[in-house]
Amino acid sequence: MFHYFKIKGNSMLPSLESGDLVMTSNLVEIKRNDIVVFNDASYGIVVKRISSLEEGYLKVKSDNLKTDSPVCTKLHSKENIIGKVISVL
Amino acid sequence: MKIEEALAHCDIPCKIYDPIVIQIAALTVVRIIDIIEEKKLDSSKSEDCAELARLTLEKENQARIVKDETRIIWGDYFKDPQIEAFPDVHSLVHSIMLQSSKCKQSLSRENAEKLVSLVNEFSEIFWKTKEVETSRVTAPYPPALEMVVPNLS
Repeated sequence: MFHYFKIKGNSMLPSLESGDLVMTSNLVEIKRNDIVVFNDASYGIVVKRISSLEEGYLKVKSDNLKTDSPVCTKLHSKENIIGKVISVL
Repeated sequence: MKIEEALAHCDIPCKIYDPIVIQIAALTVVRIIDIIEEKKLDSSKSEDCAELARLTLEKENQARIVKDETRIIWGDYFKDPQIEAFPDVHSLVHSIMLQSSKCKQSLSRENAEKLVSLVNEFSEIFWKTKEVETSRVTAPYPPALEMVVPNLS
């Protein structure tokens, strides 16, 4: 299944800019270092890069080292992943 | 077609981190050791005893500030991206902890200078994570040792 999202924020620079339109898919294998869109209980729909992945859980990171986010400090369930970013339109 | 927003979230409660607090505390440890040496305090005199106690207490306090503030930046600011970029930061922070304790336990200027050196390394790493260039300059106050400053425009 494919979804489209508009990126808001600068934490994924230089990979993704605010305003970029991305396409995600949940039909592809998810691996470490993939950029994924997922649901976070506190912040809603978030886009980040997977920094580690194990036993149903993942940790994420921002690409922009100048930024920081509490989203990157906790474990997220793999079930919360909406899809992997497969294309920037 | 409705297109939802995906938040590239970048926000933290505080965001104000600067290793200058650690650097000043480390330099102060050296300065206090120098003052104790310069004053030639006589422990048989009660006034000198009181001053020595005060200086020693402050040396302890400044070494504790080095430990506390280093732990805060390491624990709160450094996350996976920074740690992946600088994997040696853990051992460097641990060295700062041990060296601060050595400075609390002794009046060795050599130990305190080593602490300043380690803190300078930590400061350089911190600013590199923010992609800010740094310079090594002589502190414009005693003990006039080398310190790391960010090149801010």
